[in-house]
Amino acid sequence: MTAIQLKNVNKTQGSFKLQNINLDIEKGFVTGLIGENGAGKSSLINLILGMKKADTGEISVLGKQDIEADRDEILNRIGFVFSEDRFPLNKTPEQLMKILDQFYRNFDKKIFDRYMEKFRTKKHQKIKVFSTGEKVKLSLAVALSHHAELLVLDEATSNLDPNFRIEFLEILQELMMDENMTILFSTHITSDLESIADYIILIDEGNIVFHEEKDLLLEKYKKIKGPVDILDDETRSLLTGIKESSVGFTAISAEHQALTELYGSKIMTEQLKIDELMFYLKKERVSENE
Amino acid sequence: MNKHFYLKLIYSKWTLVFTAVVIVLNLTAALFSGMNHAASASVISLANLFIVIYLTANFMNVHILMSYNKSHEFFMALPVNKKDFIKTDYMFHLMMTLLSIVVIFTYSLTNGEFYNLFGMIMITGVNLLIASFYYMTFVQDGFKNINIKVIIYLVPMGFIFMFYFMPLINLDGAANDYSTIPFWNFILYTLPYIILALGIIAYIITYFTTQKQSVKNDLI
Repeated sequence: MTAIQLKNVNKTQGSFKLQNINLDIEKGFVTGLIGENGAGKSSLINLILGMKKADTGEISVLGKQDIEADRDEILNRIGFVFSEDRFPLNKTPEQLMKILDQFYRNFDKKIFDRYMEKFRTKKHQKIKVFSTGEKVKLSLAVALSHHAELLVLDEATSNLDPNFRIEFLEILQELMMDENMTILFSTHITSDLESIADYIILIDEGNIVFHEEKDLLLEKYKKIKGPVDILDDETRSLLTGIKESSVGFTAISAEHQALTELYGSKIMTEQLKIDELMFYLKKERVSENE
Repeated sequence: MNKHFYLKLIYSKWTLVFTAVVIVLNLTAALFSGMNHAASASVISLANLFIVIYLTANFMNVHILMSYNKSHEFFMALPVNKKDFIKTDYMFHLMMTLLSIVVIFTYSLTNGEFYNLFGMIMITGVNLLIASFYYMTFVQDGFKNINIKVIIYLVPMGFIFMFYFMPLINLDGAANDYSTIPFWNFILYTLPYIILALGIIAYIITYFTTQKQSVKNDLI
């Protein structure tokens, strides 16, 4: 089952373009959306939330094909957290709760109160005096309080202290016990994704570079280290994002087995992290364009 | 539609409270018109002027308030259809326009000067034209440059106040003779009806066209 589907979606915003985006985000899984600043993560999320209108292409969310006509229905089933605080600062969480209660069909004041207590956030203080972390906590309480089936988190953990980040990831893991829950999690902190994501989407300069199962991806690519003198044309063709220095080279490769057979103990093969994968793929794309 | 109406009510709370106060003040002043209330007359006039400005500019004011800290991005991500958003804005604006009519009408009762009603007709007509034009731009580019769009209100409304409403007041109070100005009678007593008719037509047309247009553009 697909929670979010984008077919040939294009969107131009000034000089930035989301180009021919095709995505099928599976229901019941955590999908991590990664990419550099300005890569198009927030633009993509804005399209999914119906905040921006695609120039061309089709977007289907939670089985609804017409995001404009069914916006009310769709957004009732989505919980979102923006990358930056966008709250009405002169309101208190208590006042905000009353507004949300009007907007969301299934808004649950008890759940909201429970999260506010759990996150130790003050209900009767104006949001403008909240710290950045407190605002994120409030945002999470809002997103989690109306029985959403799809959580869209845009850099939700960026401003959280390490303790609360772990607590938050645990909450997400608890939510995923419900097999109907889907999470689209855009983040810079790729270590968060290593613990909870099932799928990873890498977006770069408005293009989807890959959308793959995280475990397969980390199995497919390995980090390779070795001496520069083995870098002939054939070896180079098996490597991605080669970084050379006086002490040797590092790169990633999907052909690590072949390389190990070729060079044996001359090279070192290491487990890759998601941010390293992102770095080397970006490096490769840059050198290809040069 | 109700939910966005609720949001607009929250952001218009103080305007509505002061409107109620001014209406009560006007009615009280009208009831006790026999008493000398010259000292309070200027305060009442000023209060009426401000509240009419706030009521007629409410549609823009709420959008500006909603856009502080870019919180419109938060509100626009709440479940409401774009068409309903526009529809509710029109309904709310209509309600505020009717309230401005009530305010001006009760103000006229305080001094028995019903020439104000021509001003009321003119202001209502211009206000409907401004709102129609404003919503045509709003559905195109949403909350972008929302503060600059105040010009759409200020310029025509300021013009009407300076060159229609003020001469209208002076005509009654002073010995000014405007009859030498060509078409003055037409401008003073017929033009308001024409502007009002144009305003109503524009308002009805844009009520439908802006709803259609809203789904074709970005919200933020």
